[in-house]
Amino acid sequence: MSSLPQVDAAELGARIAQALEHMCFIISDPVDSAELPDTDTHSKVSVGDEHPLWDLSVSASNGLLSEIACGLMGIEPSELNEDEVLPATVQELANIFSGIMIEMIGGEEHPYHPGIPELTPAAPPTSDAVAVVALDAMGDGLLVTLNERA
Amino acid sequence: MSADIQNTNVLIVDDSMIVRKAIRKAVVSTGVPDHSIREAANGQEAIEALDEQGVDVVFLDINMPVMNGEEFMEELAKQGRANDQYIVIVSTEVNAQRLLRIATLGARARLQKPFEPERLSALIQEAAKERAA
Repeated sequence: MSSLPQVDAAELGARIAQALEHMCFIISDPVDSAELPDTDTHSKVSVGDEHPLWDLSVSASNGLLSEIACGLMGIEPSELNEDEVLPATVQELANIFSGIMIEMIGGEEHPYHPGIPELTPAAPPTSDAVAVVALDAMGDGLLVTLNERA
Repeated sequence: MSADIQNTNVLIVDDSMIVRKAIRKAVVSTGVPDHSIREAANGQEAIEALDEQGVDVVFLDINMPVMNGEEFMEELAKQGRANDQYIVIVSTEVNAQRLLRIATLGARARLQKPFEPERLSALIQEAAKERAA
């Protein structure tokens, strides 16, 4: 068993859902990852201390990213440059969710910090993850997976 | 709307374009004119922006490429001008030791991401009042 702090997926999911609601009034419900609506855009951020210890990956459907971006920036979907904004949004979600995860594992006392989020071509397989959060937001999907670094 | 707010110059420093726009929206809602708001994508760009024009309030991310928020604060402190602006940290950072160090360098307030726009509005009003005093 890993010596790293364990992350409770249910609590992480609840905190992420709360963040989505606070940020942009998006209501989401936990679902089994196998039943998750398709996701389109993907990002990953490392979390660690002196060395990267985890990778936190975020995958979301473009409809959800569009809704989040419009909510945050106060613009209409018709004003959105999707090619620019959707990748930036999924990267910022990775940043925010890594902060939530770090807080959960005692980051106030221990100097865990996130890296710079990067785009990835696809979500990692959930079978390798130490925590999986799958949320359905009115038919749009959000998948967050946490993998320990080897 | 107070004249203090209307005369406030704001610099938003974050590598995320989404966050910069979200903060800009919240700042404009307080009454700061849109033309009084500038943006920088990292600490280095922020130093250049400060060199070009006076700024009253800085909203500063920590986790950024090129020059992060802590390095930006160190640079300002080294130049003896960390207290020339009201600096608000807007970040996912939670580590108490690091936040204390950044506060010691001159940051005045902190908003944790995801932030509530109402809290940001309250901070900018506080900063504008203080700057006008």
